[in-house]
Amino acid sequence: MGSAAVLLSLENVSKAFGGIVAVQDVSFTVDTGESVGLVGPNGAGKTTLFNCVCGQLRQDAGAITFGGRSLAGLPTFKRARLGIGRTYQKVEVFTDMTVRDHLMVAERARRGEGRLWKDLLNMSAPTSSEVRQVEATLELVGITHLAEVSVNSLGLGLCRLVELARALAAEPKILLADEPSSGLDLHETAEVAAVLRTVQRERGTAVLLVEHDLTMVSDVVDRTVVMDLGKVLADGPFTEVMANPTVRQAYLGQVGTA
Amino acid sequence: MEHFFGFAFPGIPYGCSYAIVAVSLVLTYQATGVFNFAFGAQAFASAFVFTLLTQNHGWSGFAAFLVSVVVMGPAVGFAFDRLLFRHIPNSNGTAKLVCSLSLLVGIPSLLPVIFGQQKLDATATIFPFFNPNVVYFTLIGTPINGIYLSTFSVTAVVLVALTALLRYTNLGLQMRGAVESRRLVQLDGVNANGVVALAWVVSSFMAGLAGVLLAPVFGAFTADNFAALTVTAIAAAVCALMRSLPIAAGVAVLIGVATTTLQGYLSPNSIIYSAVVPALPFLVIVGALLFLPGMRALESSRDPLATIDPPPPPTAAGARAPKMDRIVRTSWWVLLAVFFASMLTWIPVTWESVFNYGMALSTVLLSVTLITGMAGQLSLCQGTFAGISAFTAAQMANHLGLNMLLGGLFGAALAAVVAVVLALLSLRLRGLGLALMTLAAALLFDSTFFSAVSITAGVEGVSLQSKWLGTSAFFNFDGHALFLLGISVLAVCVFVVLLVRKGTVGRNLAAMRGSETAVAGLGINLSRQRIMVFALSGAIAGLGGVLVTIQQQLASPSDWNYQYSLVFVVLVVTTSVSTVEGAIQAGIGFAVIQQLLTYIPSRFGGPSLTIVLFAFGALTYAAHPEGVLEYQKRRSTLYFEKLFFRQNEGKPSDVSTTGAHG
Amino acid sequence: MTSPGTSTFEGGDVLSLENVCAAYGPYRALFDVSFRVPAGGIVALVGSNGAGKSTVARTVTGLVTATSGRIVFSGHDVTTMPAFRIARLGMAHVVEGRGVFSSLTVEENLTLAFRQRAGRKLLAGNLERAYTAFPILGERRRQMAGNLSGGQQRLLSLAKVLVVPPHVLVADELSLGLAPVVVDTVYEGLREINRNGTALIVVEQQVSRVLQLAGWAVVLDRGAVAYEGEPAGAGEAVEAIMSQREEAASSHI
Ligand SMILES: Nc1ncnc2c1ncn2[C@@H]1O[C@H](COP(=O)(O)OP(=O)(O)OP(=O)(O)O)[C@@H](O)[C@H]1O
Ligand SMILES: Nc1ncnc2c1ncn2[C@@H]1O[C@H](COP(=O)(O)OP(=O)(O)O)[C@@H](O)[C@H]1O
Ligand SMILES: [Mg+2]
Ligand SMILES: [Mg+2]
Repeated sequence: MGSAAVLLSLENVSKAFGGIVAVQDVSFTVDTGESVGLVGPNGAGKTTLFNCVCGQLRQDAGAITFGGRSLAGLPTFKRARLGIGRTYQKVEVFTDMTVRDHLMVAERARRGEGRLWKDLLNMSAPTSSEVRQVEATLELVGITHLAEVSVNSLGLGLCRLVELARALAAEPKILLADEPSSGLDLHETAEVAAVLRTVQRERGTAVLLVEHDLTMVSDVVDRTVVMDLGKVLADGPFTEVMANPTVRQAYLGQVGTA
Repeated sequence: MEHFFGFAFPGIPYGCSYAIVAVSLVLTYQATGVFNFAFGAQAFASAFVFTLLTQNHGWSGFAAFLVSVVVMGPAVGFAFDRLLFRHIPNSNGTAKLVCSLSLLVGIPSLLPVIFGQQKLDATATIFPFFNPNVVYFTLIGTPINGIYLSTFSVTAVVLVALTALLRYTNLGLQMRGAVESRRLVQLDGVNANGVVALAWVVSSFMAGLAGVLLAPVFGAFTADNFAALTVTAIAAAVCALMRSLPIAAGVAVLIGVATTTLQGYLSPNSIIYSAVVPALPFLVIVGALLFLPGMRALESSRDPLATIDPPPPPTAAGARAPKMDRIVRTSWWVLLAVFFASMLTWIPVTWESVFNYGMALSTVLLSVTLITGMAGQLSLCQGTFAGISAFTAAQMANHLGLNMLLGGLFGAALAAVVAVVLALLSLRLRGLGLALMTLAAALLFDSTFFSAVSITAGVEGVSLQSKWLGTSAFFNFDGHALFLLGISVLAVCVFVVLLVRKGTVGRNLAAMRGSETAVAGLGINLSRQRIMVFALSGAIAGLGGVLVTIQQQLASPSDWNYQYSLVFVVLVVTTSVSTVEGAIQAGIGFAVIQQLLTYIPSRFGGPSLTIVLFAFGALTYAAHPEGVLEYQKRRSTLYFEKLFFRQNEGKPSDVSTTGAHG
Repeated sequence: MTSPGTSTFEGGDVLSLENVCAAYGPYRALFDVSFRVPAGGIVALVGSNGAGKSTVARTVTGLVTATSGRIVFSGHDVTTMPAFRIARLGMAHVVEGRGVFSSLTVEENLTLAFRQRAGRKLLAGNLERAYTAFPILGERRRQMAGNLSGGQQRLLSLAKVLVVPPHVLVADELSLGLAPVVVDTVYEGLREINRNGTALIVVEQQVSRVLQLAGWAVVLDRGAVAYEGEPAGAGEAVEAIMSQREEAASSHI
């Protein structure tokens, strides 16, 4: 059972928009509890790949399996129920809702609830275990003080933290994080990196991290996949991959400030 | 073949008229971001004034044209922008739709209030170059007169001019930019407010022009003709995905031609002639919404700088200091008790029935609160749901002898089923798409179910017989049974809506308004949640419909046509769409105002003025999306708190604590 | 002007804020913020999340109206001026996050900006220069800007201002979402337009990097200026605020 540990696997996934090939023949795997970095220049196809995994887009060709099960034809919400969680590059927060409510939505979703009859019988007040879970997640991400704040009044960076907390509250088996540190300062970035390591260690959550902040990537990941122009350029340990001249040229430029 | 052209050609003038309106609708949408449901109404208003001036006041056509089109059109557009649409944030699609709907409802009702009831016929024509009565040449056996030439040439000119404006001028580019984000376009140095105001001026001028040009094409001069014109134009605009002017024009002409061709070939007695042909535009709308994926993405682009807007203010109830809260709550209960006691004792029968009607209406309106207030979607067929239930109950009582109350439950269930079917059909539609779909459904039911004599007994409707309510003496109409029935159903429905809002489904719906992508990404089945809410809302509307029927002792199709569905939305939005009190205040308020208006001169009386009042009330939605009553409540609460408690601490004033870390 | 403006002498200020307060509705966000931008200078605006950097940027460019205080931009009092007039005076603002018209094509996005800023005659030339400087935009000129990747959208909004430089450029979260290789290009571009006379206010999370670029630094904390001076001292100021926070947080619990 060598493949039992493989959680997410992509085989020759391709996606094109009209004439633009965004993802081409991408294959790699993420093991259970592993954290993998996905880096590449702007427009390399990272977000598109995430969308294919989560079901917001359908790939043109190739297969994606999760926990040994093919994801073909599954809508987004079913994939999420299998344990795929994500954050978004263009923040997707619930306008007009407080941060705590964000987590409450995720918490209920994780328990697969949302039955109208329960609401009608007044059985849907938050239980104490749910409240505790939400508090714990807020604490983990370090936004307890924002719990009652409406997300409308938060800047881009704090919205990212809210998204991260929301994704974690759903307790996914794999977390796809799309540039979680953009808009955060050095300290907060380090905190997010710590959070990702914590969930990986304590909950065994696999992490697939898209990020341009290479310090953070090297902090978090076990392995790095580099993409360019829709294709996988390199796949291996962070330092090894970053030493690769093709990667340096495509991604870091001559200077290479990593 | 000649036969065919003989049937097809007469459709061209109609098609061209549809095309002018369709093209202008698309232009308005592209240049202002508003789907202007009121376009037909604006056209009607200009045509009305034009005809009034030429026929009743003996003005020359040219002078009347100047006043009704060149002056009035742009002025109206300017006013719309200044007073209304400018205040709506780019990202608030619902508010834009509601405002244009309330104009659609308000304008035709306003005209008779201003000018009195007028009998006009639209013979006066100002077709510029061609005489409508002269046959210029014959084409494949069809005489081509001035009407053909002028509608066709005007359409062509309009199409070319507007396409050029939108696609190839800097102004058009700025307009499209401003529609997406007024803030962002300002950063490029564009006077966004000015550009959008200009777009409204152009659009309203087009409306005036279309009205005056098209009135003669249709012969009879009625608001209904213009409504039908708008519906057809909407169909064409939707087929063009609200984007392409030439496609909109092309489809419009096709619809015109198809209509006359079908009418030509079919015998006037056939079912297709009487049912399908009039329904053609709705069928086109439904088809386009179902099969064109572009309509789904329509409302999705958002203002990237919307985050600059501060969070909405808390509701009056949420913002009250605890002490104030207790006082307010207590006084509401006292008021309710007094009302209850008064209804059972001293209130005269006329007013008792006014309140009963108000409560029955409130129940229907609660269904709007559920869909629009909580799910953030506009459903324009709540009246239809109510009507379906009302007629089901009435006919079951009539034919099966079933007690009307029991039948009401069946009716509500049927309404829920229809709502579910509709929800299934429109699973992927949002915002404008859903509003159009529900509107088309309402129109479809108007022209089929509600106009079937076997169901609704024609325009007079089915009048209630007392035996339908059972033999119990309890239900004689002089007693208080109706009141007790009405208030308990209302209470149950209020309770249901409150529970849903407080519960998981309510929270999920609120989340969906923010981001559907993220909701789905958390593993929530969007479709199921929507279907459930639609079903519930259909059932509540159905119960309300039965109550209204029992109270009015009549189930008439004209009480439930699409216009009433629009009015319902407008009513609720005026008071407050996000609270249950809003629906109750709207329902009772409507009934009371209508009764009060019977005491003033008849020209102002009738439903017309009530609707105008509410329609223009709804316009305050632009400035106060929480509803004008809600807004006033919050203001007065704050005022009284200051007055009585002199405490203002704990109010949101300093955000640095919220944003700061630690 | 060889070294970018380190001086704060009166006559040379292209932009100055005096005791500016700003609020979002009832939520107050800035408290008596004052600083100056010398003509042709580069000011780094740093501070933790929620400190009010974006609010300063928005107030300066007119997206948020100051509730009190005074903002003077090249001799005009712009405190209550609408954003488009400020823009016409030569101010440009690259907003935080997405800042393009997603329903317009790439070319239309650029045209909209260039027509206003440089006039119609220079349009073709400017477009050409933008496409040479950023080839990816040239390849995608007919594509809807909303369909670009996040980084490409940022690049598009930067291209608008780098190709036709304004008098003052306010760049919010400059390197947000950009790959390292592109960040280098963008910094190079900024230096270049600065050499040609554009004054810059740069908000950036990569503090050390922007402090290298800037001649003057302003550190914000909870809506107020916590430090203003040479960039060299700014790093320390930021650290001080951070450790203060940490202490407060730990004593709180
Ligand atoms: N809906 C779309 N239509 C057309 N092209 C698209 C669409 N979405 C993405 N693309 C293109 O596909 C390519 C990959 O985009 P993607 O968003 O996946 O990039 P990315 O790796 O996430 O880049 P970044 O680091 O800038 O976020 C880009 O060239 C982009 O322009
Ligand atoms: N739209 C808004 N409504 C209310 N408060 C806001 C809004 N935008 C920002 N704020 C508040 O203003 C303060 C400053 O925010 P911002 O300028 O975005 O900070 P920065 O850019 O430094 O992260 C924060 O406390 C934030 O919560
Ligand atoms: Mg991306
Ligand atoms: Mg910011």
